[in-house]
Amino acid sequence: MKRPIAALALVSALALSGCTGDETFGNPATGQITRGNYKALDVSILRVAESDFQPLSSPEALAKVQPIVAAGVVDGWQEGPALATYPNGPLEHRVVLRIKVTHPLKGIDTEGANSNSMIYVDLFRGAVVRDDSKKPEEWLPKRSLEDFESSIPTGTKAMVFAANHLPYEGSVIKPGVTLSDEAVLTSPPPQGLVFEDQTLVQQKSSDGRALVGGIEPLDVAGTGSGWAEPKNMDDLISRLKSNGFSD
Amino acid sequence: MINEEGSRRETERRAFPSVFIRKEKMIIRKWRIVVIASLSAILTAIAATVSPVSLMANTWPFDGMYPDKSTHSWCYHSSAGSTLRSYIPGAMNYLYNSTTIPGIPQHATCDTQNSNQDGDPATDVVWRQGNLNGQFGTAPCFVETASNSTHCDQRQITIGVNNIENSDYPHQQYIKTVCHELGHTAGFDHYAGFANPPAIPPGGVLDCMVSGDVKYASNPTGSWIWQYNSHHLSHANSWWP
Repeated sequence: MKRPIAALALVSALALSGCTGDETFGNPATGQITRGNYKALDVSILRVAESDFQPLSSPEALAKVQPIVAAGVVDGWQEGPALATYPNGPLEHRVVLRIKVTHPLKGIDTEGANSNSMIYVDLFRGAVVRDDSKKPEEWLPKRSLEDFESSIPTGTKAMVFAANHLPYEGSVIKPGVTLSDEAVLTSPPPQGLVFEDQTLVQQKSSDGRALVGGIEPLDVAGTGSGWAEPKNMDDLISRLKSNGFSD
Repeated sequence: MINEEGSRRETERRAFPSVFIRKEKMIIRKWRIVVIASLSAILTAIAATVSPVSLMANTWPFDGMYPDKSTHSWCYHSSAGSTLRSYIPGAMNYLYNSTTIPGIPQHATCDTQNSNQDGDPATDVVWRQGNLNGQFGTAPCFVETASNSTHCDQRQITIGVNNIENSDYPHQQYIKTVCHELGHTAGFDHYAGFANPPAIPPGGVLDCMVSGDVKYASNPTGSWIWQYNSHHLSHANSWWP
């Protein structure tokens, strides 16, 4: 007789202490759902750092402080450089997301020989897997480029808020795919990647929301923030344009 | 009716005392279950209604990657400057003193070698500093254990010194962020306590696992900036018995 009482008490305690629950805003952050011809985005592949940062309250607030803002479609993923960390230590592997710009909104040169029709986004690729048969610098990243492509495929609508990438702090051990001199390599803040999930578009859920935060969930600034208002990528682009961001 | 029922129960109590007592206990237990079930439903509803954000913010370990159960060793990466270094030992000692973690040895050089290779486990925490875009710090897993994909051999913390130095309370921000990122290495989750609406801290007490700028706290210089609340500490203490 005491067990059900204890179980009920535990359920209450867990609920109050926050040891349960899931992401809000209706965006599937983990696991992939197949709906029609579409597979839900799996942004968990990007959520490997959980930064300490102060979320900005709206897309326009973020656009104000980031020098580069553009919408487009994912063009693919490529090897970034592998960087030294410490002597005899594992390498830090980077991955680069290519976004083909369709809507330049801020800081994009759209004309001339140096036009930025493509933005390159530098991201942490995640942990390497220990392999005691090899030296630590030879340990390989767990996630392959195919994993990134499968999780966030080419053609996905995307928006990036970013700054020009600063030189890497660790020495480059493996260069990865070389970028052209004109290429714009960028670093986004935690709220700086937003995708449109086609399964949510197809789902036509009651709230109609189809946007998913990349590195952090959109509701990291709170469910009452301006991030909750645009329902799809067109809405987000329109919102930023109406706030004066348009190259 | 009440008197008739009372009289019947009194007769029963005198004639069959053991049966009567058993029946009374069963009634009490049934009512206890009803009351607790009702309270449970009410409390669950309140938790879900008042702070949906807080409900998502407290899994342990926060990213599904368990630390090892031995000491929580640490080292300085060459990038870590003297200002940053001045905040690390205090945070490490606090973690050690407030949990059942068996030790926090400092490694003179960072390494990934296991006990069978150099006599002590791989360094658990590497402290680095860097220029981060919009972030005070990060603490991703860098080395995953070969035999278990849910265990992290080493995390590398990068403190975004550029953003901390430009914040309104750099001293307090250093303390809070160092405590925060170290908490991640022990598996603690963070929460959006300065969001709109703010998430309620797991356990109800603001601590350094809140994300963001200390200036948004009602007391940016309070002791919470270097403390873990009891809820987070209980996670560590159940892992390092």
